[in-house]
Amino acid sequence: MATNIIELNHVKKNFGRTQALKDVTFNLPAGQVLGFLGPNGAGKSTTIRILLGMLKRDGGDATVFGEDPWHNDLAIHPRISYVPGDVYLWPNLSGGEIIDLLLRLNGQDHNAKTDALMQEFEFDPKKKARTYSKGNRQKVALIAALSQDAELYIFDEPTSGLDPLNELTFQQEVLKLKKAGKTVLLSSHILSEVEKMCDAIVIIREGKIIEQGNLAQLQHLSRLRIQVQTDKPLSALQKQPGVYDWHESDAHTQADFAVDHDALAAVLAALTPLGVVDLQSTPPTLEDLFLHYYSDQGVSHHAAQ
Amino acid sequence: MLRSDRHVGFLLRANLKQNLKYSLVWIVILEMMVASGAFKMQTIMESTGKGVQDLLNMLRMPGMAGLFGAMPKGVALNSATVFAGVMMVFMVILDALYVMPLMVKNTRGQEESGLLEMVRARTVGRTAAVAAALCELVIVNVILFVLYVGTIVSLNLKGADFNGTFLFTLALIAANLMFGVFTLLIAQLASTARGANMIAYTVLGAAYLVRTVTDIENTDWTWLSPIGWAQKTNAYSDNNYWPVLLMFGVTLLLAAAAWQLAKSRDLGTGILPERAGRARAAGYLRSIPALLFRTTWGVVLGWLIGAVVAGGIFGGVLNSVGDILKTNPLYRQMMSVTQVNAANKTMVLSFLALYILLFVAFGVVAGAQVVFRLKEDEDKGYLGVIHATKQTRQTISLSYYLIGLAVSLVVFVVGILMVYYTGNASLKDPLAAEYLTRMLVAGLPAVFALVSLATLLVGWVPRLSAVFWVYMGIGLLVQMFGSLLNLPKDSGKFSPFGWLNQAPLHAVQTPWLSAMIIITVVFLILGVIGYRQRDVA
Ligand SMILES: Nc1ncnc2c1ncn2[C@@H]1O[C@H](COP(=O)(O)OP(=O)(O)OP(=O)(O)O)[C@@H](O)[C@H]1O
Ligand SMILES: [Mg+2]
Repeated sequence: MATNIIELNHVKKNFGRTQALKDVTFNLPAGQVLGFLGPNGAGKSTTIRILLGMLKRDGGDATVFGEDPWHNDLAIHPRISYVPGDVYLWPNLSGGEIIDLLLRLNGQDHNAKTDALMQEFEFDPKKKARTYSKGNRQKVALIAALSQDAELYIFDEPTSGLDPLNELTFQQEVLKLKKAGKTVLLSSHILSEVEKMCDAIVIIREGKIIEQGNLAQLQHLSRLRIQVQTDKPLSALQKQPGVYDWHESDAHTQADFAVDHDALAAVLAALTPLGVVDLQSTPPTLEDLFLHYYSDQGVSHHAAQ
Repeated sequence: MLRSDRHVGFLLRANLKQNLKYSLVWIVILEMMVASGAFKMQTIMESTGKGVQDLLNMLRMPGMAGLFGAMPKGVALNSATVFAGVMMVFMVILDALYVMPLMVKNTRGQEESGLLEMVRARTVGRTAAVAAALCELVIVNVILFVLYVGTIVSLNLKGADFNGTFLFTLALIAANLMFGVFTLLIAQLASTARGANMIAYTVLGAAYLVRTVTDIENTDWTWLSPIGWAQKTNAYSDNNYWPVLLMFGVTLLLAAAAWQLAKSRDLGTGILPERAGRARAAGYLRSIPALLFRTTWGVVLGWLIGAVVAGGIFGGVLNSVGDILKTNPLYRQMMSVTQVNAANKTMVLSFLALYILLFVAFGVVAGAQVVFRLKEDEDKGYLGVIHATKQTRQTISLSYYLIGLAVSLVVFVVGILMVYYTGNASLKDPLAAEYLTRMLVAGLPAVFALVSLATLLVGWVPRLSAVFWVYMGIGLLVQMFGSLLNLPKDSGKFSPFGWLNQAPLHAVQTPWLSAMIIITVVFLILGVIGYRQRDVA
């Protein structure tokens, strides 16, 4: 088994009376790209700040490269490259100056990769940070992080201000990192991005990890969407356990509903005697998965499993 | 029709609510200053002891005239005239220190944080922020006016008629409106809130310095300083209303200018166009100290120029200060030449003992600002990316702390050197090097002790930075005013300002010197430890 770059075990964090993290447990093996998902305020940025040794955890264990990030930040930081969720820059410095500075503070320097990235992102390094748009501030952090040679890349909602073209550039860069065997932790709200790039995902909600695994596994865990047409009226099916979100036609012979994987066999058995004319099933998209897990219903459903 | 100032009321209410705590604290402080000042003058002046004579003698000394403002010539000295003479300059400054940051916060500050953009998108007019700030300025000044008049009237100072009280307070309010509106204008011109505040403080400081010199040298020239206009009302004696009219006139002009600028300017920009920066960082920019240097050198340079100018000015007036015969020609008959020289020297040294406190404060403010930037930069989110690099918290915090100490050192030492050398150039009887040493040996540890207190706070409880400024302000005021207000001799000893032992008149005592050095080292170390163990953003 590959070594874990990040290990989190029952990590807790309180800010005064708010419990930002209640129980965060997950691992990130070397060479993996992990999508870190969750609704606003779920605790993604807080988890990342703990991994960077910026916040002191109130319970549990955390290691990065096998080191405690709070005590040994000096040992882990040179091996990490980080892009924060909100990028704020010294207003009087130009973007180019800040990129060079960030690289140098990590013992590296402006390199060919930096210039290449500036071109790809169509970034003007001469402007003062004060005058940059949100997307351009984000680019400063991205260019500095991507042109740094590191083992672990941590991105906290890196594309939140980028236009689709630059977003694509970012995705290509991450795929390059993946090919080069780097480890990436990517927090994001953009599902297509996660679907394209990530080997596995972790979902956090209200400070707790509620699901983790690779995409296929997770899709399996959640419901299928079924459209069906029968000869005889099928309204009775609505009462069947494991069936949700029921919509039927006026003639009661067409329906559109969601069904739990484990209830599928029972539902099909109930459908057969009704004379199935047409049946389509769609696998859940990540979007369905999201809505499933982000809503309260998702949690109670999950707890019931 | 849409007007450019629509929804002012909405903004005003939001601002008043936002600034409530800040304003309340300041208004209470200001009101207490007026009340305790008036009360103290009354107790001293209306007692029968020798306190009256001491006070009057003290007020005639050039050093005091420079500090508080010259007493008008040929005026009967009673509780009311002395109160007006001592408090006018002081209260103008304090009032301005209250409203200037308030005006910046309500306009440029909100623009910077993006708040105004959000508000403005909701069909709030272009000049609404300026208008709302103006309204708030007027409101707080009306409140201050009522409080001040009420206090002075109720204390019933001897020699105070209502006309005089009305004029005294009106002059304060007029000056405050003038400085407030001036700050509004600056906030439209400067490109950052920090810059706007700096410019406003600098102009206030310059106005104070100009009238310090003219009050010592020749009071006719005091008209050159806007603060001098308030002094020239001579409340309770001449009751001259013209300067008030002058201040109101200037206020209107400044307000019109600020209004016009706000109407024609783009949101989020200053009047000066933004120049392009460098594509690559300079070779030296590769460490936290270098970054701090790069982002603060402008401000530090400003402080240095301030120290040079202030030092030059105070040095330049030393000769007039030491001219005891000018203060009281009667001495000519009573004293021999050597006696006169000795008395002159004592006067110069007492003057320096008073003004060294200002230079200590100057150095501390310059240095502590750098230290508190650690918190500010963190709050603004600049340090997020830095913390993830291999720079440790220790390096980051120590960089801010040590550079803060270095800045305070340079500002203080340069100021004192300027005083000493320009002073000796003007004095007929130059001061020995010993006195320079005394000032540096006593002043520098005091500067360091205070700046290291700032490091302690930033390390452990960054929210309490306001406490630092209050402590420092009160320490400075008590030490400077203590003798004037007849406070017990040791009442200034709760802060390093009281530990200087009136250097250069006397040398600092060894126990206090060691205490200051130990405090510096211990607080600095604790500051680093604190920053290592707390959460950072
Ligand atoms: N410094 C802080 N002080 C107090 N509460 C905080 C602090 N930082 C975060 N929180 C709280 O902790 C919780 C988790 O916040 P966090 O920033 O980690 O969320 P997030 O998952 O990154 O959300 P988003 O998707 O909006 O970025 C929130 O409820 C937030 O209000
Ligand atoms: Mg976040």
